[in-house]
Amino acid sequence: MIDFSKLDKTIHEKARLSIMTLLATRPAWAFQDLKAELAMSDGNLITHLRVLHEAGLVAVTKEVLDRPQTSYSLTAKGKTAFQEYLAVLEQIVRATQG
Amino acid sequence: MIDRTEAEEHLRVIRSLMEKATVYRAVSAPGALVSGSCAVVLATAGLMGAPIGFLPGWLGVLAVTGVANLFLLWRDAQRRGEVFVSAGMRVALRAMLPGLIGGGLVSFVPSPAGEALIATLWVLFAGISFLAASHFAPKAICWLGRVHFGAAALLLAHGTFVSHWWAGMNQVTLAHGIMGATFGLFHLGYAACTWPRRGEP
Repeated sequence: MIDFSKLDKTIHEKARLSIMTLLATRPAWAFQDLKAELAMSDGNLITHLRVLHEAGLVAVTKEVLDRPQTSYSLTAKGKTAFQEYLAVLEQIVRATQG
Repeated sequence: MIDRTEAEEHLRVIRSLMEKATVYRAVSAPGALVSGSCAVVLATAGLMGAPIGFLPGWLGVLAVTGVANLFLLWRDAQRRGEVFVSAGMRVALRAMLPGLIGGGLVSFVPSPAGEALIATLWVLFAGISFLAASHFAPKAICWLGRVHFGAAALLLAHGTFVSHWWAGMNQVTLAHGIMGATFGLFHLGYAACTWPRRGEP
């Protein structure tokens, strides 16, 4: 039986799913790197990152190296939510195979 | 509730993004700017008749650009919280090494056609190295490989069948010109096309 309650609605939106996927590949992503990889506008990316941050899935780090930089990473809750989301998708594909 | 098609589409997006995220950029834009600038400066000096030996001059450029590129890759890895010698770097080195070694070997082979042939073969091997990384490199590096390879192929064809290696011309000056116009300008073009755009939130 597929538990659709584990299909996190915040992650399910395609742009946010893309952000979560990239964040799952590295310890942290700089804003500019995310923007370049996803080819999203500043405003669009900031809006989706804010939603993910407010849901507790993404952590934000602001630091000043040679210039101000904002980095994003998955929180422990975000990692778990992403893994559960993947598991549900796989279950749906498996359940409807054949 | 979502159906199988939608689930498959989302899994495809996830897979494709994860593959893209493993792309390894062996040459950063600032690294290319250093390489291209050093090459153009040396080539210009050589073309203006400065007494710079071809081999020592270009091995110097190689050393400076190699150190600068490694430093920039290290800094980039630090910024992303990754290890410097990552799996991506190891794969890139394994792929690019044969081309780099080939370029190194031809440097010391006595060439009947002089330094212009050595310069052309360096450009050819540089192209082969970049193209060898094309399976996991960003598109810009594939293009860098293509333009190096294409330019070297044209120079080889022209030198062999048309100009007989520009007989009568000063080979060292010609070689400096070839390196500046190909390696130098191509790297500057790469830096211009891939330079990160500003705009933090």
